[in-house]
Amino acid sequence: MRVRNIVAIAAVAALALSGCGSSDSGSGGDKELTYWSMWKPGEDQQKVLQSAIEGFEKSTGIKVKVQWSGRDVLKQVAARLNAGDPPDLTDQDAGAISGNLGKVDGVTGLSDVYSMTIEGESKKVSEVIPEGLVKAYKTKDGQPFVVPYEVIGSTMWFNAAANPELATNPPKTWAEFITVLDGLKAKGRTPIALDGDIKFYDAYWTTWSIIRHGGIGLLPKAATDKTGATFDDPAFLKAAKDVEQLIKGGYLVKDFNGTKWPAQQNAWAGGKTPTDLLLMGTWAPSETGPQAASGFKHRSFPFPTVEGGKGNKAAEAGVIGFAIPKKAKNADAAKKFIAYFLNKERLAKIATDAKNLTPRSDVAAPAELADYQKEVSAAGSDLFLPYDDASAIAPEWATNVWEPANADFFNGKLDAAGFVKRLKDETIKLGKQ
Amino acid sequence: MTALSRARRRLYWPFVAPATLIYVAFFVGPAIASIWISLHKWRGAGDEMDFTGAANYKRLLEDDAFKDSFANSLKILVICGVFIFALAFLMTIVLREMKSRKTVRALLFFPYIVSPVAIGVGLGLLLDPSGVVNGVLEPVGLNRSWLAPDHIFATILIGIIWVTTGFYVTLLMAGQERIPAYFYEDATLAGANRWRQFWHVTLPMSWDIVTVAAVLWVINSLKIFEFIYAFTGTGDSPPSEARTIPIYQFLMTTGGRNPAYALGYGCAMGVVMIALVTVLVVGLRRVMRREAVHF
Repeated sequence: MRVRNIVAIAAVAALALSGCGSSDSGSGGDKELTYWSMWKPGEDQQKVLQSAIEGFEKSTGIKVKVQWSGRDVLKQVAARLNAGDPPDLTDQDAGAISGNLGKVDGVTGLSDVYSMTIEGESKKVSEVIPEGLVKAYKTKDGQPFVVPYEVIGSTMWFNAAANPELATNPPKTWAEFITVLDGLKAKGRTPIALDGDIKFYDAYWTTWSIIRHGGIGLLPKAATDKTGATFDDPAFLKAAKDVEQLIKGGYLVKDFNGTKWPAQQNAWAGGKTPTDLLLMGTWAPSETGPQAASGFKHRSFPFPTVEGGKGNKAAEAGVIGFAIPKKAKNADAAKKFIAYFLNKERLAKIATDAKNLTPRSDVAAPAELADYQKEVSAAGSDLFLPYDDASAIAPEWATNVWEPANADFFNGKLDAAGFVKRLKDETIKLGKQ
Repeated sequence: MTALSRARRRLYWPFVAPATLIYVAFFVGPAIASIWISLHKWRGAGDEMDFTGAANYKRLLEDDAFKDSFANSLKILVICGVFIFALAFLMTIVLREMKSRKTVRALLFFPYIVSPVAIGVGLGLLLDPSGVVNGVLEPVGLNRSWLAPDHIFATILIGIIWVTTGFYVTLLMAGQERIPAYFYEDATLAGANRWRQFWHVTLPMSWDIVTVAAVLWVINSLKIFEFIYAFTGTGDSPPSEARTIPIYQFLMTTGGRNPAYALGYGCAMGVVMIALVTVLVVGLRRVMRREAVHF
């Protein structure tokens, strides 16, 4: 009897130990890693990552099993996370990572990656990635869970070939901006291009204006304030009045709300509408490039500042980056790959080949994004995310309150005061549900 | 009990069990799971389910966005339904004696087999303020901003009617073609015009097909998703004017620019939809119940 018990205990212990051994990620001896990516075969970023993977395999002997899943990758990762068998590495927009994996506590804290030395350099990861870029993406114990390799944000685009004066002397304040718009309008133009069927693009204007007047963090605060009182902050009405000036002033392109994206941005680039300005993400040059009139030169300037504003220095900067799902079996190999990819020469291909801005200030931006790179570095740590992150914090609010209110505001159904009141009332209503 | 019936009885379960198992595993199981999940707050894979009782259902009653979507679904059911069946009946009257009716029927059916995504995207281009449709309508003064928020839902209704009518024409014509020609000859001799022939011959004698078509429409109309999504949602989530129950369910779960991952809430909408379909179908069958006409 006793002997049998001992045998049983030994057997259980052996099983437990072997179980530990196979799932242990702390040993550092991983021979392979599984990477599910947001990119699809043939995309520029995919090619850059693929060549880095080949170099990584050669220099470390670690085999990378990569799956180019496309933009829905995180839904697949989330499903595997539930089954306890997630990939070791994934990537997406950090807001999406936060919403899909962060909220269910499905990501690994990456403090140790930030203190790793980048492969082939003497700098640490934390020395080349500005902290402001990842401050919104922290695990419960305060560790960042994303390591970015691409920076995206919105800015005011124009064609420097057609409007050289905007390149030499961009309007800095709201008053100067309106003067520029009036000058263009006097020439018979409707200066602002806008694909109004995308509420997100309408809301670029209101979000920016709220940031300029009220500072970063006001919008998400209002979105989650069930009493609605935050909307009484005068910044909201001031911001709404500024945007109302644009809507009612005849500056928006005709039929902006009756077309289907990307009709208006293409018409802007192709010179088919009398438009000059496009408030849009940093993907604008690559998205509108093929439609652009010959000689078109994409340049940008920051959203104008406002008098007495609390967010005049701010810039919008979201990131696309790597994350390691919780319970990943080969987390160490994944971490090694991240530190390998952030090497200046390898990361630089995101700028040269994929025409995107990298988080490293020592990697030159592609020509079209040089203005935006300056805008971001001038902002220091005053960086905000799309919708000032309100959509990640309160997605139902964004879908049911914020976007419909913006649509009605831009379609002339609400005036400035009505817009703020609607936001307030609907936020209170949603809070009660 | 005879040997045959004993043998039959022995074989009953071996034959029925596989189908029953598959049906339970892939239909009844998930349906019960939906009801169970609808009583929870749950973000999906990896999240712990938090029992909230009827809270999701209570929320449906208070959620204006859901009520608007619900109303839009019913508008599609009723408005499109009236037009589709009126058109389909009209077509069966007109097409009955037409020589090239099979060709016409195929043409009418065509939009139904084209991918709704392709139709949605294509319509977006045609209906551009400076697109083909306005180009044609401008001389008669009927041009408008079809995709603007004030008109988008009406445009969607027209689109659904156009896409779907062919399917129901085909169904009703199949019912009509079973009717022996001498009924019509007899009616013609009695002096009945086409309308009276339809009323006294076609309709009563294909009533069972009409009933099936009506039930199919109730179910299909409430499920309409991809047409609206392709039409309004390829760049962004569909605007509140164009949301139906399945679209709103999608936005509150995994869809749109800001997926809410309110899976319990989404399941509650699913349960409401099944209840609605059940009530409507049972009601409809009851209203349309007639003695079958044998011929």
